[in-house]
Amino acid sequence: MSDLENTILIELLETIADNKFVMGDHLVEIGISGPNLEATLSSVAIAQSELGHARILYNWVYELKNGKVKGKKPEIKEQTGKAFFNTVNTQNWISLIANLFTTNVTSKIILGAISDSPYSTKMITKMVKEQQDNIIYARSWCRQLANDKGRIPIQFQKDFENAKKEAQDWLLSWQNDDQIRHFEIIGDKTNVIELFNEEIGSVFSDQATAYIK
Amino acid sequence: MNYQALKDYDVFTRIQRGESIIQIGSFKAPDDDIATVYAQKIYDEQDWAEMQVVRRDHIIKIKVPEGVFAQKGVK
Repeated sequence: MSDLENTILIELLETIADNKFVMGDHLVEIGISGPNLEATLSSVAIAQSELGHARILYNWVYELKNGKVKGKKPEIKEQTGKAFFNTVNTQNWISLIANLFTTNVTSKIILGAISDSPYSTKMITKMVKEQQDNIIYARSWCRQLANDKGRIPIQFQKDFENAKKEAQDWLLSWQNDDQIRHFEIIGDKTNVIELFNEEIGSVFSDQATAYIK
Repeated sequence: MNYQALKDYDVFTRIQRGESIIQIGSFKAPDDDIATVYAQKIYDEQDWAEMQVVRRDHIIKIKVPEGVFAQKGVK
């Protein structure tokens, strides 16, 4: 792998890892006072999975930077500064759910593309599979908040749009990057924005409002 | 929160092959998709060999015991 390939892959992996790392903390701190017991217990379990995924990605980045090293990898105490602004500034349950959904969809698309590329590893394929549960959880809660009463749907719409816009902009910057396509990190035929919009649109599908009437 | 749409689900698990499948708990969820996630995330204390989640109103009741004080008119 060339230095440039290495740098691009590190940048992608660190952004996803940072989002997962920050989200893992928020899922415990904010999720502990979720709207019901089921949501809270699941939130804490999802936090563990997000932090576990972040650790795997940071370890991979460490190997990309330093080569294969035997023994214990350094402990991660803070993100590298690439986490999304809205994710870092998550303040409450509504923005937590909006950001959990958009960051998980983003990482699903990028890790999915990497798992189809020559850089794929078994753990990435496993991670893509595992985070599907997080997406189902976040999508269901997005639907519940979008169909709730009072000011909740308005606030949710606002937070969701902000989170969506930031993720779209980030994906668009990679979509338009010729180097990535040259190195086959994201295949020529993969339209990441289209994949993202498709997943995001599923929140507001007809089915989404069917059960809350 | 709109709790009206929440449904009851029961969780059944088997600890290992050859053991009986038993009901280990229940929870409320708005649909089957998130019910599968809740079941796995909430009841993750064991590495279950088998786990099933059933919407309670889909269970066909054949025989249901009376309440302990039913004969005294307590419901």
